[in-house]
Amino acid sequence: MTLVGLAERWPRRLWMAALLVLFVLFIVLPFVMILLQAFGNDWFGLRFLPAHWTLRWFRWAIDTVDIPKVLLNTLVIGLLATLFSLAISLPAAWAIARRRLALRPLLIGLVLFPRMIPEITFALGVAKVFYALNLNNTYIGIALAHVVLAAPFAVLVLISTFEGVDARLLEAASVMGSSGVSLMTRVILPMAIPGIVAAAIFSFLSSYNDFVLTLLLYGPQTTTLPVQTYLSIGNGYTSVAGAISVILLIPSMAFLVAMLRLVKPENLLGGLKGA
Amino acid sequence: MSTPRLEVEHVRKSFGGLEALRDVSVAVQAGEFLTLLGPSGCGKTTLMRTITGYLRPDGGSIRMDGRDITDVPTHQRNMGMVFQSFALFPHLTVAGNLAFPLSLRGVSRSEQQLRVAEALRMVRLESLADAYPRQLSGGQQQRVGLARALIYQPSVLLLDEPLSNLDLRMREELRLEISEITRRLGITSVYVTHDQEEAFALSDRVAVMSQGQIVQTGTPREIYEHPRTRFVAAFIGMSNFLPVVVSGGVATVEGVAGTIDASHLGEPSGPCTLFIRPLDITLVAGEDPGVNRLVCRVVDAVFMGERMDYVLELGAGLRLKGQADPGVVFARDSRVTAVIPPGKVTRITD
Repeated sequence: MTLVGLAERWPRRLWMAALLVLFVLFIVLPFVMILLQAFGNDWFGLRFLPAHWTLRWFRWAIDTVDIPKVLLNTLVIGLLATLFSLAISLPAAWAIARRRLALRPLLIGLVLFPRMIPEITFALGVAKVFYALNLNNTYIGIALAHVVLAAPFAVLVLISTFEGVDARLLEAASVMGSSGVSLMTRVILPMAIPGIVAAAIFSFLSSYNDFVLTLLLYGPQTTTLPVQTYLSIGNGYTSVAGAISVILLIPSMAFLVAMLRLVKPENLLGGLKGA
Repeated sequence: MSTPRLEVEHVRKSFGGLEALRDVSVAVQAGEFLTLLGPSGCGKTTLMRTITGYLRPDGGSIRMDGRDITDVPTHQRNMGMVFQSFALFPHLTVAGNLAFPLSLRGVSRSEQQLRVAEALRMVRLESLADAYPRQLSGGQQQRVGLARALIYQPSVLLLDEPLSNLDLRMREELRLEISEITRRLGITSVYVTHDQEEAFALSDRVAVMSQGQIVQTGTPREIYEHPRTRFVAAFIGMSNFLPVVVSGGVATVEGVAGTIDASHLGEPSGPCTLFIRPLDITLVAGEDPGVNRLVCRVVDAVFMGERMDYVLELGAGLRLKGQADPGVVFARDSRVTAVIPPGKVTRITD
């Protein structure tokens, strides 16, 4: 290793180190703060570390705000929203990816539109309509509202998934006698599984993390974790809110890990040769 | 002759303004192995796809056992196809790939297992039933492709350049295997390739294609020995073209000592092009013009191992390629006589 080589290598490493520090500051530190708040007693940000460690905030969260019920609400609404989102996104993405549609850019723009404007602008309209239809304070109503947030990402992911399905495999399947439903369920969907799983994850998390739409539609039977966190902060229980936040993280993580284990991208390579 | 298994009649197909198929007609008898041979872009793959139904012809018809299937969709044609890209399903194991067409046909599980095992034995891949395509070599993948195309006993087997993604050794091995298996099963086969050697090794008959048309159909021997056009002659093997003037059964080359017997080439008289393979020319030392004896000068002599390759000049800038046994060598610039056997000369059109 020459001196010049060393000199060229060091700045690169410094950059990497700096980026790592920034990453920690922006992404990891907020989580650390939440953890400190959730598990700490006598802290309130006045000391470097809490004076005592405790689980009492979790106890409070479970006893006073019925966390199991809130968690169940959140999960059911998330799963419903994922189902609805996939039911809409799969055919929409297939049509955009595989048919030669004249208005393709316009369609993609329309699909993405809800994510380009502030949620509150359409949340009010949605709330008004849903109250009129008695869909507020119902699982289905809140899940349907969440589809507006979930579907755009799902459609985008699925368009590129379907575009990536090799036309030569479809030709082969159809020569072998496959068409219509069997072509879709036995060839296209199995090969699209990684994309479908990604779309499901995005959809679930869009619903799971939503605050604004839920806040305008929730009722006593349909309080979700983000809304409950907000309510606890409003009541002055910041440490309870921290505990709820930690609880909020656990299913997210479990969901992500489970989904990633289901998908084995390496199974979808090979079997084809040439461009 | 009985009704052909497969008939293509006056099929036309254009893409935009480009005519990919211009009035193509060809018939394949049951049990016959036909190859569509031609350079890339000649329309052979397009023709294959109109046969599978993946492309709809603009005109003409496709018949199977006399029945018009032009409007029958691909998945109902019961054809088997081997693809250049292998086209195995990456999400299924070898056994899963083989069982796929069977389960589409409602074959019971136990029967599926029997037939998959039998198909694997046929292509000698018994041990790889549970492997995924990505774990196999190219040759193994294509053998799975072949087994998958045959396992449901299709009425016609189509092979679209199945060997072009394999290395040379594997190509020869699999070619033999394809030949053996198709002959043993007696299945009607249509094979697409740009490789003359493959076409000759496998086929009962070869249809040479150029610019969206079949220019000549015949056994490999007929095509090699009696090409009808300059394109066929030049595409298949090495060839010489001689511009001659025929008059009274005798062909003469302008400015060259010696003539060629043209009595068997028929009428009419006048200028035309004769064709002869380099290997058919025999070289004799010295100038000895006569009937079927043309005097020429050795321009280049190259030792190729099993033979000598010569470039000969007949005068007036007209050159011939010649091949000869390396036992006798004619030096550059020496005068020799090219002896042309009368049966080896063919009149061709441009």
